[in-house]
Parts: sequence; structure tokens; C-alpha cells
Amino acid sequence: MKCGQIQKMLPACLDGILSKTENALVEKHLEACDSCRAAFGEYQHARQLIRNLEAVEPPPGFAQRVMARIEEEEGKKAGILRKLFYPLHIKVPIQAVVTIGVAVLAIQAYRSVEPRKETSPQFEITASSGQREEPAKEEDRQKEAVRPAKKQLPTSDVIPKTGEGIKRDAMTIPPPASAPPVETRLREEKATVPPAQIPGSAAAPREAEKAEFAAAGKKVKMEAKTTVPGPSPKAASLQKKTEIGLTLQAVNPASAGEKVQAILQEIGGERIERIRLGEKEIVTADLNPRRVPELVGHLNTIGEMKENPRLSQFTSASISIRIEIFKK
Amino acid sequence: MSGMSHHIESGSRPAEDVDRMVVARCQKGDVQAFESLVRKYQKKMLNTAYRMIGDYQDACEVTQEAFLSAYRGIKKFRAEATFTTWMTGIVLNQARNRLKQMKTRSRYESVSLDVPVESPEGMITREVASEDCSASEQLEKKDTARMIQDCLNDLDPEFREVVVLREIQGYSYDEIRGILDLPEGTVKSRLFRAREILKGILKKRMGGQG
Repeated sequence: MKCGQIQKMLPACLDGILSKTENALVEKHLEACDSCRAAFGEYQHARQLIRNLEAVEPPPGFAQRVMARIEEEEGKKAGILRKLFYPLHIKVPIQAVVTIGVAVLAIQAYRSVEPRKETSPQFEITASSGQREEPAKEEDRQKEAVRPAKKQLPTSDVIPKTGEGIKRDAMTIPPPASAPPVETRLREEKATVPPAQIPGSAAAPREAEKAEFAAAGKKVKMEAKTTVPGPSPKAASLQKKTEIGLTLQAVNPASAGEKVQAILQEIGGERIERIRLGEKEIVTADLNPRRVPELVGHLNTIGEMKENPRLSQFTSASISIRIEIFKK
Repeated sequence: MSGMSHHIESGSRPAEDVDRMVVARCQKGDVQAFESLVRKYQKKMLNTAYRMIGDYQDACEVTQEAFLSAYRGIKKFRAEATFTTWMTGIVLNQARNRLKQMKTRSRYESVSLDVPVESPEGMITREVASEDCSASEQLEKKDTARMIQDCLNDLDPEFREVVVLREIQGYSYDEIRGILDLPEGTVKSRLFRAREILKGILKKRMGGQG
């Protein structure tokens, strides 16, 4: 075997991975060949030098530094997770607190506003719409003075032709007469209003008339709204009204009924209805309680009141009036 | 520093079993278990990196990065390899990347021969082998270890790594095949070629020494 072939086998021989035959061939050649033996010695020497290299030691605290890096990385991961979930921990309470706060404020606001709604809507409406509607309402009022009771008949008055039955709008049927009369009390300033303020009469104070007409105009509108079928907030509030029953004796109940209807229209009555039961006339309407003394005054001019209602404080903005007119 | 030591380490079966158990704990998120692996293998991995790179500081950084990579990828580790061979493969990858960076950097930065180099043996200066200087004079001036390291550095990385794995770390051909993901024949031929080149380099550098 030539030296070149043997020298190629020397590294494998060094590792001891040659077959026995190859190993024997190499050993035999090395015994005879100085140059190949020298080459083999160089391989052994090189390997020995490499293997004898001193192992370097890690610097002090190397493992701690590695672990510190790892823990830092873990901390960042935890930080990312915390960032992802942190809002859930902090915002939920904030949102809950804000929601509760808003709810409390809303309840308080509702409580503080609710009484005003009951006591002052008419004034607010009148004040806002009175100026614009004044001319038309004044004109209407003058017409109403000429022919009272005509306007409401087609919409709400149902008078039986034969007297065999009573047809009434379910929405406007007053509660049974057994409903207890409500004590009414009006403010002194309203009680001093002249009982017979007939529109067109020069004696009526102009400003009071304007307000009254404006209110009447608005109430006509509201009446039209309440006749629309189906429940509405307004209708719901009307259903809760307190009621007053009045009894009037007149020579001609039918004529008195017409007059009462006209008066109610004049003083801002709403949902006015007139029903004839034989010789008895029943007129029902919704009315601002402040107008009750005025109504009573008018009624006293038409007929004889059996008893005057006891007036007490009304908390609602509108009450139901039921006037029964009997033949004297 | 302790004296010269032969540090070919051969893994034993019980050690591998213990490593597998520790790795299993790591895979469940046990950081302390990983710390025990770092402490156990830091020297071996640092030496692999140092013999590949030839710079102690860089080797420390590379080893640190390798352990971080290992920690990040510990859940992907399968028991097909031992932890040491898997870890050594990571160190070699990191070392190769660092060598590429150093090569790129050296294109733009000319290294002064007068600037001392940090090594675990102390600060030494680079010197170029001169035809005029005798081998005995060079050996007198230089630390033997550093010379051999320089010889290793002269090898191409692909030859250097098989020499480091076989002669310094004592891995078997089969383990080297697994670490480098090469056929066994390629490992052998590469190793034989590396020895041949290294012999030539050592002969050239050390002359008739030895």
C-alpha cells in the first residue's frame, strides 16, 4: 500500500475506527515507513494538544445573570398578560361605579322633576304657546260664546236618539257616581276670579283673558290628542285623575246641560261629554282644579247647586268633573 | 486557574435520565429546574462557544443567548436527543451567527495588532506568525493555550466545530451527526480533513515542537 493511501487512513486509525485488517495494514506500514510514522506522530501530537486545552471557567455569577435574563423575560411576559387582563380588573369596577352613579343621579333627577310635572305643565305649555296662538284662540272663544257646545258634539258627545240606551266613549266614561268626591281647595287669588267671565265682555281683565284663552287653545289641542285610540303617557296620566261629583237642579236639564258644556269649554275643560238619561243630564269633563271655583260660580247662575264641593288642595294638574243635572 | 485538564465528558445513562426529568419540569414552567441545567452545563457550553469563537467575552454572551434560546424553546425539546446535544447544537448556531457578525464587523473595523485581547488566560496581544521568528521563540512568548486556540481559529468553522465536538467535547460520531444534522460519512470525512488541516497549521505554527 502506498504512503498516500496510508496517510488518508491515519485519522481514522487515530480514532480506532478502522477494521482489524485495515488497522493491521497501517501498523505494518508505519513500522517500515519513517515519513508515515512521523505523520502519524503529528496527528497524535495535534490531537493531544487540542485535548489538553485547559477548559475555561464561566465568569462569576454567570448562571445568575442567565437566570436574571430569563426572569426578566418572564416578567415581561407576565407584564404583557397583565396588560391584557389588567383593564378587566380595573375598568369593570370603574364602569360599575359609574353606572351606579348615573343610576342614582337619574333617580334623584326623576324624583326632583316629577312633582313639577304634576303641578306646572299647564303653565309651561301656556307660557310657551300662548303668545303665538292668542289671536286665533280669541277668535274661537268669541265664536264659542255665540254658539256654545256645538264644537264638541261631533267628536265626543253621544246622545241617544231614542233614549233606549246610552252610548258613551269608553275612554271618556267617567267612573261610577259612587266615586268619593274629592276635597278641593283653591288658592285665594284664583278664588277671587269673577265667576262669570264671559268672553267678549269688556269687564274681564285683558291679561287674564289672554292667558285663559291661550290655555283653552292648548287644551283643545290636548283634547284632540287624547281622543286618539291607544295608550299614551298623557292618557295614562289622565286615568289617574281625581274626580269631583256635582249635582245641579235646573228647570230645563237639556238646556242647562248645553250651558254647562259651553262653560266647561270656556274655562278650559277637556274631554267634555254630555249624556242624557231621560230627563237627567250628565256632563263630564277634565278640568284644571284651579278652575273649579269658576265653574261652581257659573253653575250657580244656571241652576241650583245641591251642595257646594269642599275645596281642598289638589296635587294633580287636572281633575275629572261629573255634573249631574236634574229637573227641578 | 487549575492546571491542564482533559475534559472530554461522556454522558452516562443515569445523567441523561436525570436531565430528562429536569427538562420535563422545565417544560411545565419550572424556572428553578432550568437554573439547575444552566449551572450543570454552563462550563461545557461556554467552552464549546469559546473554542468556536476564540473570544472569551463573546463566548460568554453567546452562551448566555444560547441558554435563553434553550429556555424559550424548551417546550419544543423532544427526548430524541439528550439535553446536552440539543443545547450544544444551540450554542453552535449562536456561535456561527456571532462569527458571521464578527466577520462582517472586521471588514469595516481594522483591528489594531497592539490592542490587547481579553482571554481567560489574561490580556494578551495579537501577534502574527513570522517566518523570521523561530518556533521556539514564539512558544516562549506565547501562551500555549492561546496558540492552539489560534490554530483552531484558523480552521474554517465547519472543520473547527467537528474538531471541537470530537476532540474537546468528546462526542461520538453519532452524537456529532445528531448535533450537526449531517450524515455520519460526512462527519467522518470532515473530521479527517479537519485533523489534516489542523496538523498542518500546528506544524507550521509550532515548527518542530512536540
